[in-house]
Amino acid sequence: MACAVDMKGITVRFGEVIANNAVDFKADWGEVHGLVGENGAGKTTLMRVLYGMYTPQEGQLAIEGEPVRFSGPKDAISRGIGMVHQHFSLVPTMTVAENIVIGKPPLKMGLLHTSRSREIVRQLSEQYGLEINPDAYIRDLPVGLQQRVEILKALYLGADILIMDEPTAVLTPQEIRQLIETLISLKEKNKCIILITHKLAEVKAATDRITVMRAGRVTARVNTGETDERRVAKMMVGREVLLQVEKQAFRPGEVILDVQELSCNDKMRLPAVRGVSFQVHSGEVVGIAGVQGNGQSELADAISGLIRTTGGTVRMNGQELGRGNVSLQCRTAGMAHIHDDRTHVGAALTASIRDNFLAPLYRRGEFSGGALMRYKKGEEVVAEQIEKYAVKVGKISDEISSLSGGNMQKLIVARELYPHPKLLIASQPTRGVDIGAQEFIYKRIIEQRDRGNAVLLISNELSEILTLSDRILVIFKGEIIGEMPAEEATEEKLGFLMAGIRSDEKQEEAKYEY
Amino acid sequence: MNIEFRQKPITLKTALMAVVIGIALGTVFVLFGGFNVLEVYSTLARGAFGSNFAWSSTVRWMTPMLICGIASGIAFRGGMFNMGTEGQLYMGAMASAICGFSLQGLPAVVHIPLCILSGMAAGALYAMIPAILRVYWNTSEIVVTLMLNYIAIYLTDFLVSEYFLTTGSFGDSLTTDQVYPSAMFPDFGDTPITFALLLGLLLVALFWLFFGRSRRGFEIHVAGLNPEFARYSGISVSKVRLQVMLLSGAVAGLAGATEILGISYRFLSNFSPDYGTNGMLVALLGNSTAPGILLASLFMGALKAGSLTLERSAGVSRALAVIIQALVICFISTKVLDLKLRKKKSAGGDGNRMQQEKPEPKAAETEIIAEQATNGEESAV
Repeated sequence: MACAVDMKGITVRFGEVIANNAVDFKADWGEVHGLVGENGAGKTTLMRVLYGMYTPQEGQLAIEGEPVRFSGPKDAISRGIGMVHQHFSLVPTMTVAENIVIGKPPLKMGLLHTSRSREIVRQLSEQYGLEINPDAYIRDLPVGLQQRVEILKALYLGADILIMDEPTAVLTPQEIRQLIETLISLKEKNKCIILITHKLAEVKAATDRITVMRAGRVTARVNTGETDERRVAKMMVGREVLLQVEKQAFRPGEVILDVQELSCNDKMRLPAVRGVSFQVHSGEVVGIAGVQGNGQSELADAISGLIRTTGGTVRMNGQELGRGNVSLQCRTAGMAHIHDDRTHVGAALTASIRDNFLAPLYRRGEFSGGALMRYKKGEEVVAEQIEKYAVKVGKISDEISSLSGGNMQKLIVARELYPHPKLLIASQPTRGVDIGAQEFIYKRIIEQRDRGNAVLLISNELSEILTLSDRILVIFKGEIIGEMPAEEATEEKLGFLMAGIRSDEKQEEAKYEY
Repeated sequence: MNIEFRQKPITLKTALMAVVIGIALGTVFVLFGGFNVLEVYSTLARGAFGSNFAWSSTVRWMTPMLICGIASGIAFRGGMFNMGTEGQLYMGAMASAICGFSLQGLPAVVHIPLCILSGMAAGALYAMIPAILRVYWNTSEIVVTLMLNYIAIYLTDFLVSEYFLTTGSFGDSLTTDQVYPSAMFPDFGDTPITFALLLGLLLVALFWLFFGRSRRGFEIHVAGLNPEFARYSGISVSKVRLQVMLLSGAVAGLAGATEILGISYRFLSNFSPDYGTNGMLVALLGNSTAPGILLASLFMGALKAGSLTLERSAGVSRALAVIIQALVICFISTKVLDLKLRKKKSAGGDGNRMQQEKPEPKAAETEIIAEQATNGEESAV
């Protein structure tokens, strides 16, 4: 039987840049095929070729052994190819059923046949074992279920080859587990699933075979069973990767950040953080673990003055941060913040690399004097930092959106650490970042600690918290419900706390039930 | 609900293409009228640049559009859609006229600046209303400024007819007394150069320096591109918004003052042929940059001057100029051109826009959606 997908010698160039260089790629029916590589390796480009979004300059494409040429996603869809993008294209104010049938709606007198579409969704969800309420509104669904809707949408359009572009970037650990189960059950229905990712744990858990890409070329094809995470990482990055960082002995100093009884609301004006108190000392990394959406983003924003608090105090070096432009006070007091939403808050995408770097720093005497900016000096510093942090950029006058996610994050880390802050708030510092950059960012965070400064680390990745922290707090529904030194922490203990189960006794019970 | 305005950057190429296509489509209307296209455009060009008189006329129309363009440009750069330059211009004109005809015996070097400053102050104060509503009550400045235009036009109308109506032979038209000669702009003989033009050029230079060099300009630039990022950087976005509206209103007020002190010498009710709106178009066409605004105002001024000559000598309605302007703006704002151009350029994708695989390709994303929508496969956004 012919391969589901057979791509030969695919070359895609964007101007000077070669995104895919004579790439061969094969995937079979009844398998989950991992397409791994760092950001910018050309994975998404290759799959966009398969989905008909790009026409390659060179190379052939065959579906089930039959050569095809796609001039748009419409052609690809008609050949049974579906793609679930990183950013969902769902209409939040419409129901699940409406969203699923939107591409090929069943009509009655020119209008949507509502009961029929509901029926279609019910059948689909039964057929594939993907439970969903057809009448729920998308805006009410958690991200994991929204993704399920996207998958059902592709299946409804007749997808036998399903491309998933970084599907886990937005999911919680539980949702990831569910997604992997879904993918495996689709595979058992003889579908061909192509999973684009750079997270190795998922590759290991979900895939049968792996194609590794680096810098536009395929560097390896292996069976998942015959390799391990470390070897895949090496193939992706091209060198040995050490995510275990070396750090100096833990010697905490005086209190840098003192948070007392802090409360604040989320965007919907519902309480998000409820009376949280903790301290961060110099030379210490305090990790805040928790499942996404338990108030950790709001906590970081409240401490750094981006949202208003509804109670409690925040002190930096004993000085209370209060009214007026709190964000500015925080910056002046020596606080830096790697924000978890780098495309909306942590950077201005349409501004240049230079301006993005200078915006939080322009008040410093070296970058401005009197009423004027010192752009020349600024440009020197930016160029120097780009080199130091090995950020791949074109010109520093280019828009920052021309950078890949990992490079943008490296630039942001460089910017936030440039003034040697007394406190670094690192919120999801490696989200959507490749392993190479991840390792690099870990090192910088530890460097910050070893230099005698404080770090408040907020992350959904337990492994990240465990690797970097000296002390770990667990946040659940806006409250700190547990605290332990890093050496006492295990994934299991933290996991129970993250699920809101407090005492040892109850943990035992829960373990039993589980 | 939060309405954020961000001007999409326009490349020089897009602007030029829009102008060319706008003129080309305008030609269709000329043909409909049964006129000789060549003659129409050569008359248009001659009316704009063909003689000293033509140049004077171009400069005369260009100047208020230039100054209003600067006013809009400042607001746009700061992320505020000030649709109220027209109203601010009226208030500025009224204030400077009052100052001009009620203060007697001042030397010109005192009187002219005084009139200009009072015009700027009036414009700035008037712009403060929407700015304060926006900053403290999150009221859309677009709606408020638009409505305040009508208030300004009718308020000045009321003031003229009730308090400042002239007693001379102008009795029938709603106009004030003439300003004293000490408040009139000096002229430069037979050259097309006017004092107001010099003021406008000075503003362009200041605009360029302000955004290219100054700290405050940097703050405004950042806050305009992404207010959340600005807040995160420690910049007070509220302050920036008040500042840009204040500046924008002051410059619009100045535009009004120059019309009074340089052209009409008296406040005539309803005097402005939509300078404010034209200024907005100038800022959009010029991408809110100093050279862009200068060129765009020259284009619009020339179009206006040329179309007046055209009407006089060839009998083609001056509405032609308005049609061309409108078409140009349509093409600028739809960005249809952009899509078409990119598709042609490379089969492999969209040229230099997508240099690398980007995890957050905002621009690319919208294109994809557009493509799918046209395919009728997915209309979800």
